[in-house]
Amino acid sequence: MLNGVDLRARQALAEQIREDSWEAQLSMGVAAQGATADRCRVRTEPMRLGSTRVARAFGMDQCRGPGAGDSLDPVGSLLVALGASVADSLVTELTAEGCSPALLEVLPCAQFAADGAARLSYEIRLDGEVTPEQARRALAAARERGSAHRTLEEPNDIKAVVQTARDVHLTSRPMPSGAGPFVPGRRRSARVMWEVGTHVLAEVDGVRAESDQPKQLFGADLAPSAQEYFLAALAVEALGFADPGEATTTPDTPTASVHASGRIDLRGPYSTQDVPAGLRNILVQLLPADPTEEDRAAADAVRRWLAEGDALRLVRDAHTIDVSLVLDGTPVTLTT
Amino acid sequence: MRATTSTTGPASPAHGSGRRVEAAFAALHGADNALLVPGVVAATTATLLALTNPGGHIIASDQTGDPLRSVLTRELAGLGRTVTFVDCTDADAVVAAVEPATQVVYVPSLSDPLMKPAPLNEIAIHAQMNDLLLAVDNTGLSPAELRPLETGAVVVIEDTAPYLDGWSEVGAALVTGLDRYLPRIAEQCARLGGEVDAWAAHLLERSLSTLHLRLTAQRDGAERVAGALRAHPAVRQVHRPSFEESPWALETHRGFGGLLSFEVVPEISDLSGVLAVCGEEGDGTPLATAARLPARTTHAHLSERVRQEAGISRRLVRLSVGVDDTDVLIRRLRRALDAALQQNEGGQ
Repeated sequence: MLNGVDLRARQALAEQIREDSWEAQLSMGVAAQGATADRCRVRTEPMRLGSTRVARAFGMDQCRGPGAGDSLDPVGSLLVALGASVADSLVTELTAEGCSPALLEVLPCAQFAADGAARLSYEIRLDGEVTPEQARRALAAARERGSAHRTLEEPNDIKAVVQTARDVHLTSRPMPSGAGPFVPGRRRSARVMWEVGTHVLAEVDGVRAESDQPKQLFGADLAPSAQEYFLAALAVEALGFADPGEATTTPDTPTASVHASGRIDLRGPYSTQDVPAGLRNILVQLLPADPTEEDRAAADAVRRWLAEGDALRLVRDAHTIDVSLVLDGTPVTLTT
Repeated sequence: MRATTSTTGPASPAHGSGRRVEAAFAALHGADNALLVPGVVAATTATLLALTNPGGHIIASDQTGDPLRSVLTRELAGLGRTVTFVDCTDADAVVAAVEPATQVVYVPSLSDPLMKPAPLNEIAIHAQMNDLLLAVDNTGLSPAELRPLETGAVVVIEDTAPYLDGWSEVGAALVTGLDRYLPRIAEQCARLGGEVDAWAAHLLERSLSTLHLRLTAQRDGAERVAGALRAHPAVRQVHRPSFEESPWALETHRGFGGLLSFEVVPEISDLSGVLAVCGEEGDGTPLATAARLPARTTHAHLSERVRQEAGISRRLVRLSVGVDDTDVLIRRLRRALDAALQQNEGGQ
């Protein structure tokens, strides 16, 4: 087993899901609930992988908006997801090439303009016995079949439900990019360092995180997966709008919670079939503190999130993602 | 511990007889591959760890005895798994225990020591409807009586005693199932360590070829012993499955093997004579049949209250009927039970 990647098992899964498409359906979810005034507790929920369940018992603290010191914020969570997913795809492809990189880092970056438009990019730093051609091929495969890359590059409908006495169903459709020039404003970046297999360590503005896949997807069950970071970003950001955490709560006080779920057809990332590789069927459900009452404020808050949320817009709208590659300290030219 | 030739995993290379045992056992269950593992506790632990993630939940039979029960409640808890024990002969009880984090239903095909067959067909349907994996311990029946993979199980575990190894000389277990799960189990087995030596595998290989013949004899012997015990005044109840009590089993089972248990009347307090019938006492020839008191062995770790709730009394004797002269076995049992009754009357 090279690089902690079990290629034979991955190939066996790819063959199996080619034959049994229902076994390729991976659905997952996270639930976020306010913990303190500025922080939420996110819990990963059991995944469904085909006809089996995958337990995921991880909890992570994230802050409702940007700027809190020691926890990931929603955009930071998205950047971790992007870096982890890209690293996973790259390592798998490099392993298939017989390469064993000594260093693999992904440096994702998001830039926001004043009008809300955003740009995404990432730089890959590779050291070790990898030729430029091997690195290019691996990168091309990661761009084509990496689930986070595809999710962020392609437009996605985001559905939301506010569960009150009368449920409110909302859909946020992708917005086309503006015609005017992009004037960069805020910039967020992360550093994601590959450890082994699907395990990565990440750092965003001094905040550390780690990501891994369940063993059913050839990880070691060490941390939330890239896709769970994705969903956590949406859940926490939605909760930040719906329940800003300004009111002082006691442990017995009911609080709002947000559940975010999505689905991946593993034939996309795991085989070469013409199946979308990104996260699909993204659904965000808000359960207000008192779901028995009709709560217009909660529905309005979710509408505001659907219009203004940074993480939401990164996931919902299509983005051209700029990618650069540095091999052994030397930039490598990529053909687009 | 070793993987099959066609499974992946960092296991040590399989020797020839080990490979042949695995192939023969897989064929008996209609599977492609199997794993030979040194001990049923190791095999079950590895299987349950391989099929679950940290945070996962397992539903297991409330009849599970030691040392496996301790592993499920202690070691697996330390590895982030939780276990709920339910009456796995009741499919509704299994369904009622399902939680969001439940991943595996671990069921013995025949509960031991109360000898109730589990309705695997029904449990398998519920397991599939709830996206759960059904792992079956088929030690109590063997593939000669039941092939759980055909009922919807994904993994089958079997101790080599009392059926697979005809001479009870090998302490090992076999695991078979769907190919997609065996590599993970093999990897987990490799982490736990250990290996079945070549001589033990050779003995097992020889025994497997006569499994169906031996099971036929053991099944017939157990039926006759059960009939004789039911007629004895010292016996209050005999636990022996039958197609009359479990007609649904006609679809899946060929029979119920050579296991049975019986409870003696409350007046009898000393069961040492009954336990000794299989030894050299009596006619002087040891029998292949084994007798034990579950309350003092496999279920000794449980409190009296829990044992009573599970129906396992101190006067319950478990018999594993071997390939013996059944007349001799019945004669010895009758003599021992008569003596126990007389001893009680004499004491009064």
